[in-house]
Amino acid sequence: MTFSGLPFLLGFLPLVLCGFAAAGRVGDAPAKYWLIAMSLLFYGVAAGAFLPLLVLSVAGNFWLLRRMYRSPQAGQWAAVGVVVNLAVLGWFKYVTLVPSTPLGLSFFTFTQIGCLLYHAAGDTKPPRAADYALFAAFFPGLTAGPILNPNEMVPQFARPGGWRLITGNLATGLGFFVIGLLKKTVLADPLAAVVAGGFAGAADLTVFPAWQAACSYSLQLYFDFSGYSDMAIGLAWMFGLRFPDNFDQPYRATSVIAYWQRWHMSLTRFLMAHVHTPLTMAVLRWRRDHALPVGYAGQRRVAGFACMIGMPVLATMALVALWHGATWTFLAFGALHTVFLLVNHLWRLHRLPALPRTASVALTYLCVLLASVFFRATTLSGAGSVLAGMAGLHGFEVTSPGIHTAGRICWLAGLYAIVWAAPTTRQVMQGEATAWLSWRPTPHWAVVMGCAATVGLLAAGGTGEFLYFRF
Amino acid sequence: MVYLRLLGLSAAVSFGLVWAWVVAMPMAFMDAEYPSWRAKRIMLDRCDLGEAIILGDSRAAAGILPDRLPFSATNLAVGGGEAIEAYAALARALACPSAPQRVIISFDPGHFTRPDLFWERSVRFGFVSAADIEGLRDASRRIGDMSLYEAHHTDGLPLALRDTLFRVRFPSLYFASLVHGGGFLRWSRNQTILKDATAARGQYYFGTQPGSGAVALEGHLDAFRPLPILDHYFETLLTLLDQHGIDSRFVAMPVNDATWHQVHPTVHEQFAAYLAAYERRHPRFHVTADTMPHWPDRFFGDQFCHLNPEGAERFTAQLAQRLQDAPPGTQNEAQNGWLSDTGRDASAKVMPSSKRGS
Repeated sequence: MTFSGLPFLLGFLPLVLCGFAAAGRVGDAPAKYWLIAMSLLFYGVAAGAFLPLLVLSVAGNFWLLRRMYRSPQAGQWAAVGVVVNLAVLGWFKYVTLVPSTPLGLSFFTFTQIGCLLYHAAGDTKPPRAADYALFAAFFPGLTAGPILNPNEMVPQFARPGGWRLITGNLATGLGFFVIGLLKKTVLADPLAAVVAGGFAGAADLTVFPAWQAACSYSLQLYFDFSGYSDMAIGLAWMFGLRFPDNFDQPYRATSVIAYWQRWHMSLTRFLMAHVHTPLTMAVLRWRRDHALPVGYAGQRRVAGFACMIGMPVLATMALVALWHGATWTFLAFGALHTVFLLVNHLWRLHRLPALPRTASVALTYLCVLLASVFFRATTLSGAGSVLAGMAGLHGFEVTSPGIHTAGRICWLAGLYAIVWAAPTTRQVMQGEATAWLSWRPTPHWAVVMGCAATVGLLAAGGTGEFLYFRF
Repeated sequence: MVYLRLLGLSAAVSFGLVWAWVVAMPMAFMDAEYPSWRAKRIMLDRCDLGEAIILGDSRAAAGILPDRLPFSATNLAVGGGEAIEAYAALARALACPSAPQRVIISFDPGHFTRPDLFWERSVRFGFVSAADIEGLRDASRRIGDMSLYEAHHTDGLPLALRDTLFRVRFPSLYFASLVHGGGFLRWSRNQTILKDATAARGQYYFGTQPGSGAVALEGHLDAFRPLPILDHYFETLLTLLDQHGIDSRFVAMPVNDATWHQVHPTVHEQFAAYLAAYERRHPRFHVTADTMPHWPDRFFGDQFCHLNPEGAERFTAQLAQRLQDAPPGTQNEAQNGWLSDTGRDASAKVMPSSKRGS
């Protein structure tokens, strides 16, 4: 069950909202238990076979948190918890022959690892059982994130009062949700056919269709994932909860470093907090203890750059690659981004002249685009074929049946205009966009959002037309 | 609260308007194949069928020109058509006051072996009824082959609900056509296609290129393995014909030489044996000698081995000649090489029904 599917839109969402409204009238606890029950139902419907795994994971981590509180071995317990969580993740993701990874395993595992590390000192009281269950398994973020930070989220789940369906929250949440739904179903999904066709026939792609396939994929990935994140944020908002942002106009980044601060932000933040920063600090401490320079001058030397910047970046990007899967294409994706990031750091350290903003955005996007080819391709040779096509090694014919059409080029141009010129969902919904694009609970916006919801619902269950539609 | 009420109202009204448009005006936005199906459905509903009907898939829909046959006929073959669509059309035709006296059947091997466009075309276009879908569900459960019934998933919707959404023409199922058709921009074109398909007694072309050397599905099959549910409907179709004493003839449409060179011998043999077994069980069912004729690439209009206009004229001329000279059951088809490409081109001898008057 996905947020953009008819079962969710026509069945689950109305049910959970009505039940929450009714339970909220009784009290906070019934409302929370209702959300827990519905989260389990959501996961059970989507991936019933793995529901016991989710329950065990939440129960096990909660047990660990209770053990850690005021324990002198809190850090060791946390370490054990992290290892066990990673072992389970690794088992299902990389070792076992289960046909598909349990839905959302990476997200609810990382969210809980973050919580274990947050409580590793043993002096922070663990959340109550119901609050923790919601933190770890609340359905909006259960299957595709964002990865929740306990520092931000646990207090929200533990808040007294406010567990009622409030019209203001519902209106704002619906706005986030509808915009996310449109991004997913209207902007991202129609690109799927071009992307699938292009990458499936990569060996024959001439220069224009190859660029079209690669660009379409980068846009599909952005609108799909950011749309889904917007829907998750909107759903949480409906219940009075504030999820963190996951995207902040990443394709407008002026450097690859900035790109990673804007793309899948909750994962970046997690890895920065628990991998990159601790590694960097450890290296700095070691160098300081051995009387080695740790400042700017030290970073400009080869050895200093390699251990203070290169190693943490390499380790972090290796984890980013493995997060997505243990394949050569993902490893190539991580390696490419490692190179881009290191070049970016060298540029910064050596104070090379900054490019004009437009050129910076274009160059950054080009790097991201090239790496995304490896992210999408199923084999290294397939990615190589697409890149060869983009380089013109398969010819320069302008047309290629079924892939390259003027209409699709115009569609791509429109999508780039949105990517580079339109405000983000949060800017629209929180009044940070230009006046006419800033949402307010006015009759005009009610009609706009109502019609947008209709389009989203229509697109949600659409039966696509075939490229060769007369067969 | 006013905001939410207004939002809900605008969503409900806009959704309702779109739904009403989808139900009332499909010709305004549906893709170009819809009006051809609509033409067949109209002829069926009016019982305007003639002496014979043609049941089958897209190759039959494109390659058999009813008005060149020596008797009045209607081409009810449809793109992606399989035995279930043929059965649904036949059952309606037999309910007419003057039921057809003969039936020509044509499916390529692929339309016995895999679900095709049943949900996307036959159901969405309204060619099969809710009762037909219920029949499919029951038969699938009885046989234990859910491949066709479960071929279309709507993101995990319960199948009964999915069936209901199709029955009520839930607008989400038509959204892609609404968008591509601009809501109403296809009205004029679709009316023209409807008119042309009606005038051509249901025949309509797919590819019209002056030749195609692409290898079609047959060239990629490693064996002929009919789906149990499609086999069931084929049996049901022939049984229904037997019960009404109607002669039927299985006509294999040609493939291009490029495909023929790629066809695994086993596929051809198994397909022929499959049809021969039916011929033995159903005395009124006759199968052409060559179950996979092959013609030069120039007669094909696209990569799916649909005959182009020249190929359709040639094929129908040969078919008409045989139908005129050799009524079903009167000659040994296997001996006279019915519809063989090496046979004489007898198109000159045939007097099309359209030129013979009543």
